[in-house]
Amino acid sequence: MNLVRTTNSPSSEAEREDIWLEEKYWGHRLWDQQSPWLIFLEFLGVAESANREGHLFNFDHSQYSSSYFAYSRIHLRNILFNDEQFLGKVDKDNQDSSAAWRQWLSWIRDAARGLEPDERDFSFLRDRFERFHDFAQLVRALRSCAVEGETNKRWSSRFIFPFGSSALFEDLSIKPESTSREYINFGRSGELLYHMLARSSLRQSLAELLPQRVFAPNRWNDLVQRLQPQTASTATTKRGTATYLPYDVHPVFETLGQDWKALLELDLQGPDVVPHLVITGSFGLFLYHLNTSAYLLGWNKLVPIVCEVVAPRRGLVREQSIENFEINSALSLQALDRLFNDIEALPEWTASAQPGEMLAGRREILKREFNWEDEAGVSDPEALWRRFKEEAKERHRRHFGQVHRTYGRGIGLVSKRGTNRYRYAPTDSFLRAILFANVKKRMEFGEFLALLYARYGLIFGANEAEQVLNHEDMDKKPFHANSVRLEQRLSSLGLLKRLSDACAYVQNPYAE
Amino acid sequence: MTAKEWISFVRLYGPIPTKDNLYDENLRRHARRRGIKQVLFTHPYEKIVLPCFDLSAAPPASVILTGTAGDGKTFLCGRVWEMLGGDPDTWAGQKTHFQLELTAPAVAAQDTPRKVTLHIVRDLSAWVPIQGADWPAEKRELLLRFSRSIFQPNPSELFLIAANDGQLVETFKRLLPDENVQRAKDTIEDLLVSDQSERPRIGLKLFNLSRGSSSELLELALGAFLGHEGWSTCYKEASASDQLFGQECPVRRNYELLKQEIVQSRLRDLLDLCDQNGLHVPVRQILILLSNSVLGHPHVKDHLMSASDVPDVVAHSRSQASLYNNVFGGNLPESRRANSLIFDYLERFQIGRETSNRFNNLLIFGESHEHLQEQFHTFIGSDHFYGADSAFLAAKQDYIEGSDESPEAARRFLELLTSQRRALFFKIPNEQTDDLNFWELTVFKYGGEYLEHVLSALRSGRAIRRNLLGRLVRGLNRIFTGMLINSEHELFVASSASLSQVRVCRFLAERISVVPRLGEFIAVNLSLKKRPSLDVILNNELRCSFELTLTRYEYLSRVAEGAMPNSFSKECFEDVMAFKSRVMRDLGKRSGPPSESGEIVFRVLDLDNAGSAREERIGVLV
Repeated sequence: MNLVRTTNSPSSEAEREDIWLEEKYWGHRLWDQQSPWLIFLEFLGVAESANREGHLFNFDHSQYSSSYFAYSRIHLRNILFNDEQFLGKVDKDNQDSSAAWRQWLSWIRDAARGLEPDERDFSFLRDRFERFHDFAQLVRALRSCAVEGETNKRWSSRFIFPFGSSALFEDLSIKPESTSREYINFGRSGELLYHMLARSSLRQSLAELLPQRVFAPNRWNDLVQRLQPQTASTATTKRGTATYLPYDVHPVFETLGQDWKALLELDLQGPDVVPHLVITGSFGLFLYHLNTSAYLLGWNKLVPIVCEVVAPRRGLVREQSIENFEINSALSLQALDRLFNDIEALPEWTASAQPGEMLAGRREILKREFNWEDEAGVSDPEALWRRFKEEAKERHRRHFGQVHRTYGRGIGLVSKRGTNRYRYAPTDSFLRAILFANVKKRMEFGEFLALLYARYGLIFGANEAEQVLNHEDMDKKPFHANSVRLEQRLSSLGLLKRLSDACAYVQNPYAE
Repeated sequence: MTAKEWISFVRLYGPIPTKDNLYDENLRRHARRRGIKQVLFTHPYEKIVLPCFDLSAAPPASVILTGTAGDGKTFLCGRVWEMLGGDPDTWAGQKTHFQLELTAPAVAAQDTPRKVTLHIVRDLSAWVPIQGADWPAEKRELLLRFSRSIFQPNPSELFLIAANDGQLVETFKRLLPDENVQRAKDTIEDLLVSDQSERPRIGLKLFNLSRGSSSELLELALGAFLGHEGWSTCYKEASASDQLFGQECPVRRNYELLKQEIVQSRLRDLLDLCDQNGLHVPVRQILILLSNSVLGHPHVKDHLMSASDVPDVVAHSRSQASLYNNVFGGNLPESRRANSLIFDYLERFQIGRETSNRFNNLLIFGESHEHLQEQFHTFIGSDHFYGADSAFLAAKQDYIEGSDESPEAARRFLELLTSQRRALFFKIPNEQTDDLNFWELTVFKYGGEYLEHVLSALRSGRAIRRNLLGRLVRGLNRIFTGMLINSEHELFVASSASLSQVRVCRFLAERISVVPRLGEFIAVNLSLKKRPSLDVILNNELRCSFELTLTRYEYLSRVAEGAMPNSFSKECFEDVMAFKSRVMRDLGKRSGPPSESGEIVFRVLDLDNAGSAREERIGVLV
């Protein structure tokens, strides 16, 4: 695996995190509580800003420390998500359009949140719609396009489908007293995704293709724009300065770039390609997390991911998949242990015989390497080291260590379906996304399986399993049955054509 | 040949476990030893393949015959060998690779005729080295020469290769890397997947025997099988009524049933429908079907009756020799049945497992029912061989009276009921479909309609009836919009705001008229592959086609009549969604870039109480 660290890194004084450990080796940051759709929306915010300024996916502009300008679009969000019931009520209660407007406009003047006193006039809407009823209908339609519609998140953390730049805005906490930005829903993972693509070798092609598909003018974007005053088009909030990606070159950056280029080149209408970008984008982050851990452990190949195509009964493939998942989940923690060993191996670590000096020396090393201080709580060099490791591991357990499982579940790769343990069992959406990203028109099924292994480490069939699992453990038949089930799955999705004998082709209906 | 020997011979055609490549061997050996003629007929592809080797008539080209096991590829190779004067004894030997010297006409007027060597590989799987083994130099060389020859204008060597389609591509892959092999492999793959037989300027013709008509093969097989002299021998040698071909003999009864027009017609229909669902039945499987139908019985050796089994069967278990059950492999154990292609395909129709109130009433209450008595007698009561015998009537009585002695009894009756339903499928004549639609005994309730009013109509050049097209459009509308719309005259192409693949879609992209209007219309035609296809024509250049397989036809009809879009078949739902994507894409091409009008217009779809579509236009001022 070829990884090259970036030369632009933050100095430890610049960092506000209380430990700069995962951030140093994986980046700031991969946030476990961010779902694939929100990762994508955050990414789009960065991309749109860069595109506006003419440096989309530019390598140099993506170096630390970079920034982008996000939209708040408070008027839009108030209309769409602040007390959704009331709009419908006004529409129903008032036959007369003027009366309806009067009622609603006066209500929203008071009820709107996050706006200054001189921004509270929504009457610009009146001239844009013939009747209040039209306005209500279209707002209802837009609401039904909310991303992750069934969420119970606060209204200011709800988003609509990214029709275009007019529909993009950042996550905010809008309270009566103030508006602020937290990093729970938009946790910077989308920003990292942007930087990864900006450092892939296909960045120039992506810079041409992405705007054509995702920022192309269309009526829905125009509609969303008409729901906002002129001032909404200025993005003034500067974000992203603390985001840090430690590598300039990484095999997953290439995987991501190739996948997205293939998807963007498909003969799919803009909005139809978005769900596949969402899945493959987060899958890229998932692979980055996993394989960087492997790299830190000195591995040289992609981490294997044993996939079960859900079988009616527990069998060998499921067992292997469960075991494989557990090993993979623990990889990042193992990587930390390796990093700790490397510290212990530093000559300066055990330099001094005197405990007092050693303590001071170690404190300095830990501050320098990981920006960590114990605030004079410990008096013993061993206790110091123990305390650091405990805190680091606890912190890891809480968030970073969860990424493998939560991202895996989010993209439809990890599930407990049909059993009570997590393992890799891809959903139809996941299969569709990776098929569209890898098959140009048509490919023989065996070739397809080999490709999935070569590019991602995904194992479905006997040939690939043989290369990775112990030969004593290996009974080919269950894996063969697994690949047959995959054929049937793909066939029921209309993505596989079977010639009579043992000969099948996967096909991509959109790669004309 | 005695009658006994004939029956033993017919058993060899049945579902006896033999290895594929020994099957033909067995039959040939047996036939020769007993002096029995094999069941043979002219393969429909003969008239296409043989002329390829008449070098005076056609430009020379190599031929690949492909298909699945039992399609008749090797057999056709034998016919070519015969036609070109090859020695039959040589052909009967063990080799798989043969050679013949042919004379090709001169290229230019003054040149002499050329010598061309024809290589015949009659079974590629038997000829190539096994997986993992090395290739002997001559074999590798031969295929390399083949790969080169098809791209040359006047090759000195021609080839006739018979191979299963899976084996074909696999073999060429093993010979890589080589430039010619790569080109050959790509060409072959291309022809295979696109269902075509040649490409311009390439000297190769590929015939996929799996693309032939299964029902045509059935006709030919029936003729050869039923007309074989072995059966007259059986009649001649018939003695006592409980002996082979006596009055009470089930083998004779089955043979005579198979000769009935109605039974043949149903079988033809079933195989035609298999074709329409993309399931091809090779010759070997058809012969298995015929042999099993006549001789099948669950409790004899290999589940096929021989002459000596007849008296015992007549005495104790004649109803179990029912042709109606044997057609579905009911006499075979589950595993054997599942492994036979023909029974697997026929099983998919679920004949006898589906039913309706009408049929259940007839079977259960018909005997004593005032209005149904006559029908009961005609179809069930008068059939002394396989109809309502004492066992059936007793079980029925138990079932009606509800004596729950054991669930065993109920289960046994329901099994007998299934048998009777299967029999009904083959007994009810077409004229009575209005009253007793026997297609309701299958999973394809619209199967009869599909055969008669769609396939038949299109094949004879007529358009399908307007109400049928209307029903299909209604089904599509319900799936496209996710609403219980009733419209039949227009196709509503709608999406939700964000995705075209979401269930309920209110935003209309366009309404496409069924009857011609401004260059657009919708019709059902036969495609180039001779399959029914629903075409949405947007203008002179834009045409979007949706192939109407039997399953898709059934699906759309059911949805039109009230079934939910995600019932019956998930695959069909996905297919319809993919079709919608294509239509939307073509609509986009037709309308071009949006015009400047000072307004963004949205067309919102809604339904009134009667299920009629109502469209509301909303304008947003720019």
